[in-house]
Amino acid sequence: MTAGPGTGLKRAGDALMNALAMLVILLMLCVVLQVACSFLDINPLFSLTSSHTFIGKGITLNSLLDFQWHLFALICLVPSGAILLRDRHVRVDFLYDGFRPGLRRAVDLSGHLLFALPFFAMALPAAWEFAMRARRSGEGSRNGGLEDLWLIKLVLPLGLGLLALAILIESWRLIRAGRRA
Amino acid sequence: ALALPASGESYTLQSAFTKTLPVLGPAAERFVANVAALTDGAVEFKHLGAGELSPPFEIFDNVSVGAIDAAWSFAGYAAGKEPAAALFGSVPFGGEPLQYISWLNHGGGLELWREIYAPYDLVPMACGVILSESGGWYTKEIAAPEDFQGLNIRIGGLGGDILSKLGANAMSLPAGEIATSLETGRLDATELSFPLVDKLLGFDDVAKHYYFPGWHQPAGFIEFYMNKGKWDALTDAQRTAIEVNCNDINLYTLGVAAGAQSEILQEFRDNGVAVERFPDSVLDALRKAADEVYAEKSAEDEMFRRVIDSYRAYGEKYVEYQELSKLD
Amino acid sequence: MSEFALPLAMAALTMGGIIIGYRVGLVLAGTAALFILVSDLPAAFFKLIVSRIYANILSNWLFVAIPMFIFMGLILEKSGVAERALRGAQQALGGTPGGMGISVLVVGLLLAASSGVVGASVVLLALLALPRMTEAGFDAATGAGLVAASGTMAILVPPSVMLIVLGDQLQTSVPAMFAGAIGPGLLLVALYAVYILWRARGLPRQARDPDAARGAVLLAVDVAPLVILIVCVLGSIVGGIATPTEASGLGAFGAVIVTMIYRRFSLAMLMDAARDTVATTAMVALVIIGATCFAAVFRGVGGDEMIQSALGSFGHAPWAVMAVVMLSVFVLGFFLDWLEITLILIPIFAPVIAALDFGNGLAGQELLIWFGVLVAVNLQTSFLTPPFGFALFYVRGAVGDRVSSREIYRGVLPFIALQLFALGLLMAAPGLITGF
Ligand code: NA
Ligand code: NA
Repeated sequence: MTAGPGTGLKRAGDALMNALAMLVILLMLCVVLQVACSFLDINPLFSLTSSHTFIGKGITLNSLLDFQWHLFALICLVPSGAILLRDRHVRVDFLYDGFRPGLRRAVDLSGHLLFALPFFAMALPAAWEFAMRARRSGEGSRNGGLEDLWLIKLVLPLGLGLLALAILIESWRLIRAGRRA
Repeated sequence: ALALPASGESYTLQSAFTKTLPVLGPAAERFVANVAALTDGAVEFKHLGAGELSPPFEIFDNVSVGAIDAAWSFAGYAAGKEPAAALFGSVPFGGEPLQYISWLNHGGGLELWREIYAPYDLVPMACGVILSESGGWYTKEIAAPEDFQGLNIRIGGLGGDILSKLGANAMSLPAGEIATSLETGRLDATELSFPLVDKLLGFDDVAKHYYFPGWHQPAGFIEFYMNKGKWDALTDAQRTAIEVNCNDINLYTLGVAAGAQSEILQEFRDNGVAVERFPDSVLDALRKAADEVYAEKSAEDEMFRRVIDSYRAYGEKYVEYQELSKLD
Repeated sequence: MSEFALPLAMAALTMGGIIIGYRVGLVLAGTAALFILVSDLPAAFFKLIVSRIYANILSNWLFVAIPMFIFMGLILEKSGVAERALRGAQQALGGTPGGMGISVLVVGLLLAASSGVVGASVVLLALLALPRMTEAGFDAATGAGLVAASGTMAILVPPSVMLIVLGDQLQTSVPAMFAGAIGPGLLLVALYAVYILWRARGLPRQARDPDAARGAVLLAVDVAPLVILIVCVLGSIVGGIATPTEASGLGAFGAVIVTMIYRRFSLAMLMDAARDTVATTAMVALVIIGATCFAAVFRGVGGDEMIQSALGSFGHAPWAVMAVVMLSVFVLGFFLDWLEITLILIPIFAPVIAALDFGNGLAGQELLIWFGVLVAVNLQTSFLTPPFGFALFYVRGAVGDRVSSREIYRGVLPFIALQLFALGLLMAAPGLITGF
């Protein structure tokens, strides 16, 4: 077997999942660090004299709190496309399970057309603009946490974009399988 | 639906607050009803409670882009985008409500506010003046400034920055975790509102020191703002009806809240809560920390400097006559 | 009804899409998109939807508990520590299938007391308990039903996000709401226990594990991991070291330590658990994302007014009002999530209920707390009702192909019946709520 586009895609998906898995471990350590620091009254963890990208003028307990939901945002949205290609997104299958393969393909394809297409066509530009608006206003924390919120808001167009891409790939596979059958 | 089958135009009015909240809930209903009455039903606001369409902290963006027509919110929520907006929610160690609204209407405040919101296509105004809040619920006594060292307190905005200067851990925990965390001791204190509202959250059961004054918010504004396109499309009479009604609400909110606190304070005392004042040494330390924060923010943000300078300049003129007029 | 054509069509399209088996999250998000396009909502409504995804889900710090509890469950499961611990607990309870059912129920209750987010507890419990239930001889449906029902206890047993939101909407004290939910929580656990023991009566007692026929000390060693974790999670909350959300992270960390103590730790196991955590979290998140899009548009096209006008057509006799509220919560629970139901119904009914006399001596705050907890039990039931029961989605997502949707649906029906029985009991005997 030669390595086709399918195996390349799978390898990219695995790499993504591994990177995100490390973020889960980082999230756990970050919570432990926060609990330890507030128990021992360590705040801020360190301070800087001038303001830097993302962390602002140092790392406070509020920065750690913000960093946790930043990690959560990455974990919950970025893998969505990879999860779709592994068919792990929830469906109610009490009818679907009994369908012939052709009918199942029809359900998925028409679902992509009826539900996914209008959603992504409208939500992707809106998500991009949402992040760019935060960038233009230099939006930061309201309470001494992390700055440059547009960076984390970029997760929205990125995660939704990967999900849309996965839907395109699945559609292509479904059409190809339909032709073969 | 957004377009009601009425004769007039319907506008969405997204509130940042729960509809059932005392003072603020009835005030919003009064505003909506009076605007409709004064415009002969031509302007109908559809009042939406917190989170119904837009999440509270996203209202600013959503009115800005025209997804929502108008908002009833708290300017401090926009401080992440515009640090100076915080000063239109409350001014820590500022003056009492009359001074605050006088500065806004007659001391150049409103013009600055409109300038800040203009790039976002928003037209703001004060639409509710909030009485001085309490200084917060504490599970420990605060006898000296040193007692803030390592104190885990839930407070956001400028108040949080000021307390951090005294070594407190100013946390921005979501409301959902406050009650449990105060009860277990994970939090030592929280800032909230005035007694009438605080009563509802039951904090008198979990924290036994209720401090005054509310130095972080001696007076506050509820803001009304509207998408500029929608605002400009109104007639002069309709815009006037909204502005006049906001001034009615300014008086209404202050009056309703002012007389209703004393009974609640007694209920707290009956439940074993000590209602007390921060010692002078504590207030002096906080005031000094506030001056540091104002100096830092003014250096970082030009608009912040202009607003706080304007407020202080007005305050000097305002205070002289107040002092002369005091009876004791 | 023609003025409500849009919300009705929305509900119908969603139900249709979900039932034929397209991905739930995408059905919800897609329906929202379609109805922005066909209604007179401004195109800027898409921007509002994006801001809801960001504010309600991505930047919601409370949801950090979802990946953390899932991670904790997967570490315990993949390392084999959970299997050993639950078997140990079963042995301690006489080694019967019923003993396993009760062990699972107790673990579920303890999880509920340390979590306020349903997704987290249901997934964790499904991972830990479902394989053990099947091993003990229960059919997959009953196992899934027990997991879904006891996992949803997280939203009723304090701490609970739902009780806090209800308290806010009803303007009652949160600690009082928490206290009011303790009695109903215990009542439900008792009902579940009776049912599970009844289901277990015909099942063969398993051959006693030769390893397990050991002394009390070794048994204690088996069960210790669960005890350690509960100390980590519940203990850190009660001891004032952590908030419930932070405690979920401590729990995951504690699970890692436990696998080290039991010499089951490996980096491969840790990464495997973390990868599965990513997949399950993303799966849960897409459903919630879809739901938040759907709710905004449903309200935008007049869904809330449709519900209000339907409710307005009933009278004002106290028990009639109560019946209408309870019935509408239950019916709306088939296709809306608890938060939306709360936001639509409570502002309408709180002032009405506060002024009524139910002839049970309740008034003022006590009356509102009784009412609020009744609504909470009802909403908890809505997590279980097909087709749109969040708990059912989570069980399905967590265990993959081991259980079919059909089995899950069949399994939860008896539990829904128990919930409704409890609801009736709590209405008739308010002391179960106000007496704590
Ligand atoms: Na709970
Ligand atoms: Na349901």
